[in-house]
Amino acid sequence: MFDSSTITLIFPWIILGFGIMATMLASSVRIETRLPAKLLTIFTLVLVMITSAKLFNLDTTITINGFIEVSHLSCMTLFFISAISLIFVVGSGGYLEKEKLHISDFYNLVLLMVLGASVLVSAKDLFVMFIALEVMSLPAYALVGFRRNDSRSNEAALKYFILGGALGAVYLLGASFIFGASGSTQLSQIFEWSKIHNGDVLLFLVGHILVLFAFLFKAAAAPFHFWKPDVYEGSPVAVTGLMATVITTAAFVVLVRLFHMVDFQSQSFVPYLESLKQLIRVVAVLSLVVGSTIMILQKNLKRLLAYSAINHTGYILLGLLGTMSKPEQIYSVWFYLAGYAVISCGLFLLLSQSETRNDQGLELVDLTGLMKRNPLVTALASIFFLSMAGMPFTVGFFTKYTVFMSSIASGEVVFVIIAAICTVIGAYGYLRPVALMVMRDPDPTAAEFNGTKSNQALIIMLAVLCLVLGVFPQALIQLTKGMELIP
Amino acid sequence: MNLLLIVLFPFFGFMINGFMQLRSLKTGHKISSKQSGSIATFAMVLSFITAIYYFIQFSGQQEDGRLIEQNLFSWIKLGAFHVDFSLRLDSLSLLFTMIITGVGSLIHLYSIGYMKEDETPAKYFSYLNLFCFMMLNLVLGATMPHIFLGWEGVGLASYLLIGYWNQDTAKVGAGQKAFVMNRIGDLGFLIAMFIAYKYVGSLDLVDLQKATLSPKIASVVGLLVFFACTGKSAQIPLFTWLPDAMAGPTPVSALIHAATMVTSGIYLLTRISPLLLQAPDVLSVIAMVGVTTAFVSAVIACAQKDIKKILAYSTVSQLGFMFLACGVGAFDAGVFHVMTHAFFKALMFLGAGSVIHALHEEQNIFKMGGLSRKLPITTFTFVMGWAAILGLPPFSGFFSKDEIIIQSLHSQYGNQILFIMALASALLTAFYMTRLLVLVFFSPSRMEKETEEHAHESPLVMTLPLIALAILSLVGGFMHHSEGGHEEGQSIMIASVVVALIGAAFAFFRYRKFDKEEMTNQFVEKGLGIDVFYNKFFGNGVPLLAKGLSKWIEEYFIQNSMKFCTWMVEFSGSVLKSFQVGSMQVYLLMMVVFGLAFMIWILESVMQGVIFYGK
Repeated sequence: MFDSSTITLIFPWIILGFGIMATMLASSVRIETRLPAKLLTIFTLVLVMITSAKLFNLDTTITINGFIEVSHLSCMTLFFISAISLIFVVGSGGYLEKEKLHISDFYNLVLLMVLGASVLVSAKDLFVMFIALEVMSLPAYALVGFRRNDSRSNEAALKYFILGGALGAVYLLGASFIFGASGSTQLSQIFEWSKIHNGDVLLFLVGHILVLFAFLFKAAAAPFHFWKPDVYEGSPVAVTGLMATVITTAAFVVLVRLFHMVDFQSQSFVPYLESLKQLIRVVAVLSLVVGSTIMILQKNLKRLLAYSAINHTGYILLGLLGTMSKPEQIYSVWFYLAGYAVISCGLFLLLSQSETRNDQGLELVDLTGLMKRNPLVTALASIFFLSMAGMPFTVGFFTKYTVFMSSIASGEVVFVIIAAICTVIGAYGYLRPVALMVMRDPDPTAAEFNGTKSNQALIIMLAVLCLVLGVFPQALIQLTKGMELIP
Repeated sequence: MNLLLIVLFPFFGFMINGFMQLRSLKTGHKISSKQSGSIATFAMVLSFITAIYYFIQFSGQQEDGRLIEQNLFSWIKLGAFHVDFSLRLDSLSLLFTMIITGVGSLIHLYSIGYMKEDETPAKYFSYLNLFCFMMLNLVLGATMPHIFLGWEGVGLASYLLIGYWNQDTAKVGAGQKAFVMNRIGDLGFLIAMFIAYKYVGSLDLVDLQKATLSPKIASVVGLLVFFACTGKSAQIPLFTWLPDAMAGPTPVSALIHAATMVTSGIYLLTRISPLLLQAPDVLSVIAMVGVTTAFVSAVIACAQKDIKKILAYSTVSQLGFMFLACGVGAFDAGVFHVMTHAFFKALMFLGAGSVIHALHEEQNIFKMGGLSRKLPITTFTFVMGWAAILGLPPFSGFFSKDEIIIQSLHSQYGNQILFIMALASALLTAFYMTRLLVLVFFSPSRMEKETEEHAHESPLVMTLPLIALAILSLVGGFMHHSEGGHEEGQSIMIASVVVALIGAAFAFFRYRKFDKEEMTNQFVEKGLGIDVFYNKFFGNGVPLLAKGLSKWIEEYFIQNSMKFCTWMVEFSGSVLKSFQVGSMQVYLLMMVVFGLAFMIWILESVMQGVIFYGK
């Protein structure tokens, strides 16, 4: 079952497992000793990055016992997830210190979450997916409630946990339906089954739709988005950033796999394709409209970013819609996810530097007149906000552009127009904080931004990356083009 | 030898003088007109020598061998659209190059003396070099966009030089007027370029010449190009900027507004002549506009008092002759007249400059008189120019002008109306030029005592170009082999000379003994009210239109619809937001409701689809 080459293939997960055990040990020895835990985490993540990068030049896709896939797609995503987590781990030490949350458990939970996410993006079996989903989600629930003394944090964690648990049950129900219909839980076997199956598909469809609902919930697509603003608002900024990047990316990789679970060329599933597209259209448009219109009414910055995330989910779903009939367009989804993660990473790290005067969390008014007091932070924040809005010369422009192009290529012109209108509405939402920072006089009650030099340098690098990718996106697009979806 | 050299020398002159000017602004060190002028002149002379080299090379070759092309770099590359930055020299562009660099060198030389008192000669000479650089790009460019580059560049240089004395708002205004009028014409150029690209598929001039278009498209392109030319070459309806452009220094008027830039319209029409020949209607429009401009501006010139304005209207009138030539299909004759006109009109402008210089910026011809004794060289050379523009044999104007008049009757596009109007314009030309000559140089002096005493001949650096141009005005006509000489041609020649002599004699006897200011018709002097009309109609009309638009469209329509949109967005946002109640039970309930709704909807549609697919 295990030969030496298989060991090499699953090396990243083995390293993660050891890292988790080591940090667990570290925190069990003394919970306040965070330096060893932090160093161990950084070491683990770097090793994961290296080992997954080693696997890039795999020519073929290898599936281990039908459960786990090691492919270009999974290795790239794994590399990406660990890189983003590494940035957060390195960058959020100051924030945790400030919030008095700096204990080694944090790192342990982050590593656990990364492990769940990394298995999730490689999972080729419905039950492996479920286990990975739970491994990813449970630490996330704990991290959301990490501010034990803050009632909003506790509330958010509880909401997230219960809703997540409920949707987990929905997933299991759906998976069992699929198993009942197709006789297998492995995606490749289900695909084969769908090719030759000729007959009633109702049972399978019910299962499939339920499974999709569960991951649309994880990706926060409307109308399964309700948890997102409340959870974002309640959780610590660094955790919010991790959720916006790692969990979103992992959820979308699974979502894409689930959408392409069956062979739509097959006679039995031809009518289903149209209906499924219709579902994506409705969900995408709902996400776009809900995200953009509610976003512009928000006063709390984290809630604003939550609705912005829902809005972005709409764009990604639009790109996914384009792939339903043209699977080679899938790179637009990966490119969007990567670009969005870079922007979010920078923005959330930047927000984690803030120090508000009251306990209400970072409000929009806290940014008033920041330009005069802290031009560097203003410039960085403006770059990230404008990136989110999709301004040209930032990566946000090209991510939207590729998604639009891929859906236009599939003939979804009307939905691209709707998305473009939502972009305009969204731009208002993103320009509001920028205008507050730049065009108003400083407000003495506004928030302060204090970051360490190394932290600033990290954020500046991310901002530069946003701009560089906004002018030369081709390199990243080429990378994502290699991430093909194999049934 | 490199074709690029012709273009590069003036460019280097422009750069050197420009940097010198910038440095002098910083250091306060003044640059004399001798220093900067000699650099600029040297640049032009070098360019002229290069042109002569090519002239010699060409004269040893057959007609079809006279073509040199040099591709410098790929300029614009957008998908299938591709424009090279390349220079192309053939007989036509060589002739223009010779005029620009040759006459240009003389005028640069003359400027050294003329701008001696000026504060910032380096600026002046850098602009002048910039102009020549752009003009050479215009005539050497191988593609329409390249010509357009030069076309805009000379417009810029012209604007800078008309408003060169920028302390005087009237002069600045004249520069702006010239620029705006030219921009109106440029619109035609741009649209013509777009249409030509759509139907020809290339903007290379060779491809345009070879293209066969439907008469309709050819007419549209031809008319639009001609409209552009009416701007640059000051024809009806866009001619009013040229008399005002005389606000610039006189050498500028000689170079830009007489010899070179204003003839670029003729150049462009000649370049696309194969296209125009496919649209005879456009040709007749060009001929009519040309001859009308020639006549109207000759009438206006008769009532002018300002020496430079007379020459300006005369230029407009002569340009009208050239367009007439193009309009009757005699492009050769038009280009020939460009050359001779460059010689004698530059000569007369420089002569007028010499007079103005001697009289300390006096430009009214009724405050001059009897200058022939004070300014012998200026007088002598001016008479040569006068003889040339009248078309007296054997002066250069005789050959070119008569060729045009003959063609206006005998060419396949010519007719009697054009012929009679051309002759009438020639009569008027003889009248107003003789009037100018007599009043300035030969009639009794009407100057103030002090001015008269200070009047003296200009220095050698200014008279030398005058003499050179006078010689060219005399012999320039022999550079072209006219195929005239048939019976009717000879009789028309005689007729036009007689007409010119009648006009001259009439003016001579009328103004010989003039000693007071003439009471001219104000309406005619003010340019037949065309300027006033433009000011009233467009000057007031456009702001009125803008006001109306801003009130009705902007305030009522756009603002209110925007308000409605923002209200819509906010309203839908707040409605959607009301679902976000914060209660988990409600969230779960809604997810279940939506999920069930989706589920039923999809299964329903799939079932229908299955029936539809016939399973």
